[in-house]
Amino acid sequence: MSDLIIETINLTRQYGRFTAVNQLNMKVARGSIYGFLGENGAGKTTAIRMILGLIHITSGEVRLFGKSFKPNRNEILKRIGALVETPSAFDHLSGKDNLRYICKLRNIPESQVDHVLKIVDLSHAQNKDVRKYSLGMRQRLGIAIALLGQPELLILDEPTNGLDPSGIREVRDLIKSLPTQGYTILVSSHLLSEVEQIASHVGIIHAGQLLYQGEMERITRRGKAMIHLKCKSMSEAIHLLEVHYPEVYLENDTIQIPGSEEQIDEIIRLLIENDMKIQGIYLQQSNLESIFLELIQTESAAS
Amino acid sequence: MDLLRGFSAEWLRAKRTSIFYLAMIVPIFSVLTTVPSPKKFNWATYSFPNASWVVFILPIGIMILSLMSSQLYTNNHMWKNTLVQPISRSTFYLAHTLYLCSIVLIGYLIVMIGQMITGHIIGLSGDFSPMQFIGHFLLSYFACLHLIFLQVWLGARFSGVVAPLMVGLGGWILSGVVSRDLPYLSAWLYPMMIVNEPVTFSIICLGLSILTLTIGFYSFTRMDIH
Repeated sequence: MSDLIIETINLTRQYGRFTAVNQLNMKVARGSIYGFLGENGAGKTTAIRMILGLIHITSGEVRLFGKSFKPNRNEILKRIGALVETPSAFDHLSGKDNLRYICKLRNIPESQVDHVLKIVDLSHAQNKDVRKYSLGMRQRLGIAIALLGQPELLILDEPTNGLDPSGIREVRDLIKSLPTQGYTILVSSHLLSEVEQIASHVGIIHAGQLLYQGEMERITRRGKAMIHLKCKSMSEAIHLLEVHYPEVYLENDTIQIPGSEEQIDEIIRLLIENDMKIQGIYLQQSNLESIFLELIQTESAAS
Repeated sequence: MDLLRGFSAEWLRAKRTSIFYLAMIVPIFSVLTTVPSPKKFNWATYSFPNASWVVFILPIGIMILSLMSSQLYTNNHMWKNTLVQPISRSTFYLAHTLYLCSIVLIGYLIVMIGQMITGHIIGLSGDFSPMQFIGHFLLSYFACLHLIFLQVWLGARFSGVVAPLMVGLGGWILSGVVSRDLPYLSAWLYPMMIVNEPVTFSIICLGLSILTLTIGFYSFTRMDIH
């Protein structure tokens, strides 16, 4: 059995003269959470749609579970659960009926519906019409649909798109909890900080080309989200923060600490407890563009 | 088996939509509004689907029902969710088409049973032949299949409603205009005409049905889902 769950070989999609995905060679190993990173319009969704057979391939090949997709489509799709871009469901049906619809198409017992509703915490709203669902609930329903049939591979395209911070955290926690249940996950996002927190491996796509592919750890060393902070007494604040955080920098009269939004609360509490006056604090996401440029430069230098 | 699964899923999807109610209520309305006079009609002349059904309600109804059905997928972005499931596109397309065919068949059955009951209540003269009566309705139903296949294809192929509406309405109006001089080109009125000239129209309808179904199949299986 192949250890590569997804393998694309020179996968290319052209729309007229425009190349949306160019010679993509993606490799997703069994049991990994593969973060597929790229800015909007980079080619993530096009690549995912080709992997799932929703759109046609101009050239190249998709291999899933070691088998070519086209001749083994149905057999392969039985092992995949997918959420593609916007969460979709029939508005006039309840969440439960939407899941029953998918059960019929997948030929799986409807008893699984309750199980997946429980996983995504939607049991309480199972009989409610989807049109009355919030965006977060729709997103969770989309994940529930993807989980039906206990697929080995989950493909989640921008699963946190449009969600508020608590919704993002919920979905993130949900995804993080899944690999322990034996899933391989391909999750796409345009947010580095998002992928950073859940992925074990990462692939970065820019203008249709895969610039980098490998372990998450390597890319996180290149660029981190930074908490920017201004206090009345900067030197005292730096001194205090250095005790608690391994990396604290002072740049352009601003204290910078690599971190996530969860750490902002922690820092504020620490400073207030020590009678420091905060003038401003915010999180600046790592700039993917700069990482891309760095990657391109590294690639050029290496070759 | 896959076809049955797809067919069953189609019925579940249609739950609580107006598609089913339209398919039930409109035929009843058609029967009730065309009660014949026993002086002018007998069983021989009343054993065909009534004119308001075959000329007006059926062609327009097929267009509306197939549009409503395909728009449920388009508006809810459900083509992609459906087509990443382990059921082949061709099987799903067939199930989707079969669902529309069954909805129209239900309409035909209601009209047929309604006309039978009405004819008996008002006491039409002449001999009532159940087989001939059913035969005429089935023949008329057979002659509308190409319209169903055409509208299903257009509904799936185009995300908007303009193209299916234009073709449906345009074809229907054109058929009405040329029906006297060029009856063989009045494809939207075949369900009425076939009863008078069953052999010729059966051959034409069969050919058209095969053609529209094949084009729909080919188009749907090659379609990019965005």
